[in-house]
This record gives sequence, structure tokens and C-alpha cells, in this order.
Amino acid sequence: MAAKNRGKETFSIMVILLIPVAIAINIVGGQMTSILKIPVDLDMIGVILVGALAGPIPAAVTGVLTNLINGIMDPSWIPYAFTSFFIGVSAGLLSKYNMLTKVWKLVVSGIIIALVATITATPITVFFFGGSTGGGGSMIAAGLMATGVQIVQAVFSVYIVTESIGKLISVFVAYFIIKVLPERTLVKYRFGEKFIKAKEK
Amino acid sequence: MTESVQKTNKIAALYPLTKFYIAIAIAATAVILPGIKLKAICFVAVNILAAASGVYGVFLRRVKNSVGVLFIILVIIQTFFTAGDTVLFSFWIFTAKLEGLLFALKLGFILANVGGCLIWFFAVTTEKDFVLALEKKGLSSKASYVVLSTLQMVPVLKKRSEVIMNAQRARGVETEGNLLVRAKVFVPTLVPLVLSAIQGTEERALTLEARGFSVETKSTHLYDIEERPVDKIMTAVTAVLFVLIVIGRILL
Amino acid sequence: MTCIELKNVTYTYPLSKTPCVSHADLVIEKGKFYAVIGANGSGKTTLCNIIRGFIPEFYQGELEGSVILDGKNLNEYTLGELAPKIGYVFQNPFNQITGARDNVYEEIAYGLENLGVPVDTIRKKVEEVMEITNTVYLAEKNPFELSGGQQQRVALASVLALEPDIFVIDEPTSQLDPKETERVFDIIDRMKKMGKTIILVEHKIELIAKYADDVIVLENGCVIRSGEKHEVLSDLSLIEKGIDLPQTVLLADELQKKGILVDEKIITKEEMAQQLKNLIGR
Repeated sequence: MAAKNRGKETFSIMVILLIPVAIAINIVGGQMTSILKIPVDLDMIGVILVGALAGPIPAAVTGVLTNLINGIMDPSWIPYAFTSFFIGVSAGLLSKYNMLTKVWKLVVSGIIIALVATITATPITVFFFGGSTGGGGSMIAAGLMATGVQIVQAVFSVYIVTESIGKLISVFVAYFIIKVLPERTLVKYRFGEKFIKAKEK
Repeated sequence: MTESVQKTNKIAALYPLTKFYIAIAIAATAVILPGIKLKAICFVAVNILAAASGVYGVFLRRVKNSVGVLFIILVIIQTFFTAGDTVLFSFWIFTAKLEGLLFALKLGFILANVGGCLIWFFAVTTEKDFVLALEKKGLSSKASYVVLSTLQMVPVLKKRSEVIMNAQRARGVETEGNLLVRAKVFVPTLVPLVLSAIQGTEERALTLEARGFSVETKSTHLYDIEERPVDKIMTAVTAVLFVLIVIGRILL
Repeated sequence: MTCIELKNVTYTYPLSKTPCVSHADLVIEKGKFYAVIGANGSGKTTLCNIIRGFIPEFYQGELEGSVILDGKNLNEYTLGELAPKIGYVFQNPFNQITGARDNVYEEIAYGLENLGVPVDTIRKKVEEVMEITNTVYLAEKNPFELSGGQQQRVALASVLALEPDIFVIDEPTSQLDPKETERVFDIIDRMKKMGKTIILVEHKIELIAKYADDVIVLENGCVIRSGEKHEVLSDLSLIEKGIDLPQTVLLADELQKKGILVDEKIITKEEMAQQLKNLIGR
């Protein structure tokens, strides 16, 4: 048969169908945090999930599209597509090197993704938006600036705290979802077998 | 947007890419125009465009909620917390500086213009039309499927999340109260939602295969939109005006 | 005329040790309506997936034996080539909505668009199948906002629009109410009258007795019975295998025991009424 391993290609039809679901998870997750007034961003769970199952490129696509689609209503999302791209790439690479299979690894991965998010989002906030993010975080950043901290450091400090909490939770939620997915679903994705092996141990 | 606006309003009825070029041209103009005053005038023009397109209500609401909020915080941060010599006024520990305020207004109006143009564009263009226009320009049908089905999937999952949250409330799970209580609602709501959605993709994949999703033949479009002569004229006019503005900016 | 033939087919899913279908031999004839019955986990859906060509291409795993479609081995076709030949309708209505289109009319047309069919022909075919499936009044609606039964009819219409000769339909009514179930069977009956070959997995035995031609019985992945519906459904030994038989078969059996000599192979209430009428002699 022409494509015996079609399920394992980077953009197999299963991955093409996973991306819309993952973007919807990001958007619904983001909305739920605001409905429940949870003060951290949990809008990248879908990206991390795609990274874990299907690798860096599909996850990066998921991330960028999430920001563009959110940008239809609120264009201030659009510059941060850059950040989501790198969150996706790092989640995919972490999965590739089996860094999403154990609790201690999840903690390390969560911190790495938070660092990536902070490093890529800080310049956007500072240069595109003059330090303003439109959220409660900017007020804390402003408070820091009032005590004499430079704008870059202030924004960075706020992000490193909020992102660490947010991405750690997101990584664990994504892992929990993978754990409850049946094996026959997992085998359909490129990195799915990693999590089946992890289950058996 | 509502289809009725698109049919009756001449600006909204333009081809998606024509509107897109106009939005980009105005946004770029706002960036290159010198001085706060000109940028502010440009933003007034964007407002007039939105009003003339019959979408001012939507436009204003979205601008307020996105760039509006950013603009205000931007002004506060830049005016009070960045270095500058010209003190405007001061109270308690805060000192307002002119340099910061001017920078904030300049950046703020750029943001308002760029954001406003995009908001106008999506207010007068359905995503369906935009994606179809891009598909005709060579976007792969798989990429357009991803975008269109995402737009369909979001409201479906949103509705389901509300159903699950209401069910939890009915079972006595609290969705109000302190942070920990509220946070505990998050996972039990999201996980079942995600599980059924992901497991459904398997059958949907087979459904799509059965509908010729992977067939390489050039597909036809039942719903179609076409460029009219007015689109060619508008695109050309936009291009000429933009080039003139760029030349003017370099010379003056 | 034979259109599909399974020869000694055995299939094992990946990660599974025991085969899900084993040594299946089956001949499907053109224009006939086959009902596949059996307990849960007896391999009905897997058999459908094999016939549809989704196994092993999509599900991977090991497939032995051969499946012949129109004289050619199934693995010589690509999934794209199979789409216009064999249509598949699944159990879950929601998962059969593609998500590519935001109204029912365009949803039904989607497959034809992908195959590059000219717009005028698409309109003609779509309107024709909407008539057959009673979905005309849904044309403007968003397919995601329909009820399960409506979605299932839209799914049938979408497949029907591609005009395949063979339909594989897997428990289309398991999530539907009795009224919608009746509607779906009515559509399938019309499809049969159009000369389509139908392979239907279904639990509702009375409806099978009424509409099907042949019945195939599966148990633990093996075809244990296959043949004309009166022959198969009147076999009382199937009850021990956990298979429901039509009420009239049980009634005929009871009547026999009481010494009332009715035909043993009565599977529908209409046939029973006729028999009783003959017996009474009016």
C-alpha cells in the first residue's frame, strides 16, 4: 500500500484534525480561566498537547493559529504568535527527547517552556506595547517600575512568575489528558508510543 | 459579521483581498506618518471607514476592549515610570513626564491604527470569504480546512464546556468561592471535553477520507466569490495612494 | 453478481494479541441488502473497516487473506479511489460532520467539491439526495447544531451524493430515538430500491427482519452463519449465542409446541398475520 505509515507522517490527516481541536482547547481553556477568574494563563494547553503527541512543527502551527484566530477579535494577540510558535517548538522537542513522561521531567519541561515564553514575550511587550499587556500583570510591572526597576526587567520579572505557574499547570494538564487517552488513539500519533511505554512502567 | 451588511454596503461587499490590501495600506501609513497629530488623524480616518462600512458598533466595541485598554495602560506606564526631564506634574510618589507621555501617544496611536485596521477588516469580512480568497491564491485546501473547522469547533466546545460546568454546579461543585475552589473546576471540565473531541477525530478522519479529502484533483467551489472590476480599481487606487504617501514621507 | 469477496480474512489490531476477525469467508452480491449481527465485540465494526479498506491502511495491524472488490484486490485501490465506490456511515453522528462547511447544503456538497465535480452537477445531486433523505428543510442550518438523527441523515445524504454502489453502514441508529430510527431505515430501503448494495451492522432485529435480504452472524470474529434472512433468523440455536431473534420466530415456535402448525420460518409480523389468516381459513 502506498502509504503504510500514513498515521505517523508530520501532517497526517490525524494531525490535521488534532490541530483544530487543540486550538479550540486553547481558546476554551483561556475563556474558562477568565470565567473562573483564575489569574494565570492556561491558553496553551492544546499547543503543549500537540507538541507531546505530534512533535514541534504541528505544535508551532497550532500555537501561531491560536493567536491569529484570537486576533480576529483582539489584534493584540497577533504579535505574540511569535511566542506561541516557540512554545510549540519547545514542547515538541521536549517530547522528542522524552522529557514529558515523568513527574520530575514535567517540572523541568514546564520551567523550560515558561522560560521560552518569557524570553520571547518580554521584547514584544516592551517594544510593541511599551510595557502594557492589558492584564493585571501590567499593573504589577508598573508597581515594580515605580520602585525604580527598568521596564524590561519589570516585565520580565512579572512574566517569569506568571508563566512559570501557568506553564507548569498546563504541562501537567496536558500530561493528564494523554494519560487518560486510550492506547489505540495514542498509536495514531508520531510520539504516542512514548506515552504507552511510560504507562506500562 | 452579518451577511446582510456585506450585501448592502458597498465597502463591505468588496472582495476580501481588496479590503485586506486597504487595511494593510492604512496600517502601514499610520506607522510611517510622522508626528502624533498625523497618526491621530489617520485613526479618525479608520473610524470614518468603519462607520461608512456599516459596522461602527462592532468596531468600536472591539477597539475599546483590545487596543483601548492597552492604550490607557501604555500611557500610565510610560508617563509615570520611564525616565524624562520635563516634569508635567507630580503627586505622592508619581511624577508625570512629558517625554514618556509623547512616546506613549505615538506608540498608542500606531497600535490603535494597526489594531483598528485589522478589526475593521474582520468586521466587514467573513472568515469563510477570507479563507476562500486565500485558497484561490494558492493556500492549500488542508490549511483552509484547519482554519474553517477550528472556527466551527470553538463554539461547539465552548457550549459543551458550559454544559459540563452547569452540570458540576448542579451536582453541588462550587464554581465561585476562593481561588483553589474555582481552580478545581477547571480540570474536571476541560478533560472530558478534550477526550471526546480527540477520540472523535479518528472517525472524522475516516469521514473526511470517504469524502475525498486526500484526493489530489482540483476541487470546485459551490460557494464562490469573485473579484469585480471595482476591486481592481480599488486595489490600484490604494497602491497608488500608498506609494505617494511613501514618496511624500521620504521627500518631506 | 459478486461485488465483494472475502477469502480467509484474519485481522489483528496493533497492540492486540488475539485476532479481531478470523478466517472470514464471505461473498457479497450486487444489489442485495446484508445485515450483520452479533454480540458487542464480535468484530462487526472491524469487518466493516476491512471491507471499506480502512484496515490495514488507517488502523495498521496485520491483515491476512484477501478482499476482492470488483475483481481487484482491495489493497490495489487507494482510499481516494475507494471513496466513490464504497460509502461508509458511522455510528456517531457528530463525528461525521466534517467541520469544513457551515451549512447543511454545502456539507452534503463537500465530497463532490473535493472530487472536482462541476457546480451545476453538484447542485443537482445535492438537491436529489436531500429529497431522498428528507433534509431539504435543514439546508441553511449549521450541521453542528442539528440533533443526532438529523446529523445522521445529513451523513447519509453526504455519502449518497457521491453515488457509491456499495454502502457500509455501522449501527446508524444506536444513538437515535425510534422515530428517527424508522426514518433512517426508510432511507436505507430507498437506497436498496435504487439498486445499491448495502451492508448494515444493526442490533434492531425486527427492522432487519423487515428490510434485509441476507443476514450474517458473527461470533468472536468468526462468521458463524450467513444466508437468506428467513433461514438464519429462524434458527433457534442462535439464542444460546446471545443473539436476539424476532418475536414472531419465538411466537411461531410456541405455536408449534401447542400443536398449531404454522410455518417455522416466519420472521415478520406481516408474515405471521398472513399465516394466521390462512389457518383460520378466511
